[in-house]
Amino acid sequence: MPSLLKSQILPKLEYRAPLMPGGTVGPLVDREQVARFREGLLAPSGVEEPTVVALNLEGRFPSGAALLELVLPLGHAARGRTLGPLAFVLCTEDAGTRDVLRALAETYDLAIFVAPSVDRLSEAEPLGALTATERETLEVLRRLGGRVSVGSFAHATGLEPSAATNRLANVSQKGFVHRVERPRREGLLFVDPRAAAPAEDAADPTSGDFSLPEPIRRDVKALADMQGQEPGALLASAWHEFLDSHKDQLAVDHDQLRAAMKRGDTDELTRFSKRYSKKQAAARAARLTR
Amino acid sequence: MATNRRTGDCHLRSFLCPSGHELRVTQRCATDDLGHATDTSFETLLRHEIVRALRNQREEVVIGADTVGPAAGEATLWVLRYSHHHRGTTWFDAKENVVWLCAYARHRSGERGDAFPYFEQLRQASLIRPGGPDYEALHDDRAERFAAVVELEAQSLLTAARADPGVEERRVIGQTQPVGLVVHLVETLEETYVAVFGDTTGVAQLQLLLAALYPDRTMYEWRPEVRLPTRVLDLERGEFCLSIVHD
Repeated sequence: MPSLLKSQILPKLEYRAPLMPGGTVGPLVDREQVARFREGLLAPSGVEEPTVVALNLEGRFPSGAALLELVLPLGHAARGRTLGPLAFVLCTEDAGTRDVLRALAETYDLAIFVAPSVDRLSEAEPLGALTATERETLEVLRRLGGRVSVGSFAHATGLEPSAATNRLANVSQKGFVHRVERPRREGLLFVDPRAAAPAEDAADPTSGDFSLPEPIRRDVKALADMQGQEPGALLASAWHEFLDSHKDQLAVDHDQLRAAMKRGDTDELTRFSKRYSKKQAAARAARLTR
Repeated sequence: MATNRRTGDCHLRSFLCPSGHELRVTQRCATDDLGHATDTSFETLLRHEIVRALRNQREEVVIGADTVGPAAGEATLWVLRYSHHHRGTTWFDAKENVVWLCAYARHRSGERGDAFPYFEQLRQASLIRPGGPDYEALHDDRAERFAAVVELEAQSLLTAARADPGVEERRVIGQTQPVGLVVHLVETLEETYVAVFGDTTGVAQLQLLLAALYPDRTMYEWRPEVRLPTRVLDLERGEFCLSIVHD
């Protein structure tokens, strides 16, 4: 059964940049080198989780032929989902390169995004053969925080649910939006690749939970993100899913807590209580920004 | 005539008001406007006139009379006045139940350094409301308060619920976490049901609560429930329930 907590996770963001002979700035003209870079970008088996690859072209000035070599296979893979739920954002400050990318995407019916820099992914422009309605759909999705259900999209746009479904399905079929399965009752989620977040630094020692396994840290974050954002009934189901999915780790923690209580170890109890403060605070601050 | 008014308490960087909300000063305001370190306790900050005004004027009523900038529903910023010379701006964060002192400056009507243009600058630069570090400090302080009292308050709650089986006993543990508890007797067995709100509960606080209620039992013995014996759950708030059986 699809997981509520997993559906809460934003697309994984990965940064890549083509190698340049002798540095990171200059013309990028060697097609073979670009082809090798592109082939090394992705495993042939593709990805299972929604993933966004931000290709940093800042300081690089690719020739038309080099861009074609880079973008065509990637844009087709995103359009056809042949490597799984993948999206590509090309990041360049150069207006000329953006114009060439725009023309390539329309001519070859690709699904790619272009952003002015890797720090401004949320401003990325979708490039490809999109109608005005499809562009508007993507803009609304971006304004709504990059993650919508059919219901929330219909509510925001005043459309009937069937019309909202069609609008979202169109941009999803064209490869511009990830479709995320959820339990049947909750319905599908549609996620804008521009909402992707870099993976948490597992080695961040300032995070109180950094010694815990990644799945529980990920799901605590998902729960914190859902608080104050998702309908209460969904949240209650997510809590039960969390308690069931992590029962073994929770049992280990529980035994440690009981031991700390027996010892009267208030420092340990305080440390434990603060374990997820950073995640909860980040989720709260993000809601405020939205 | 002396009044018999309930008063709140300072705890770390908060002032805990009797009606349940907290007063806090944003870290930017504490450092840039009041000249203190970010980890300064509320008790120390009370030396400042505007923080005393915050306590005196927002302890019972979370909003003010005049707004800073346009009224904006839950996002409205309120003017806090102390004498003719001191001005602050506060924001009631309903989700966290906190009144934040967001900025302070002296009031010099018509002068360059007046409070209101300064508040407007901060607002336009999106610097006026609390940010990530403010929420981290808030959650840390609450977590510390919760850990300090959870064993005592959980046992007291359990004792009260046992004294009145079949009736829900409700408390706010650590002045942070609302908990409902029902002890249900079935012949020689005692079932304890615990209900908490999913929209405010932290994972660590739930774990502490369960361990504090029954420190001799394992986590595996807690079972999910779809309702309390006394009522349906408040799904609007993501309320969920667990139970444990006891001889």
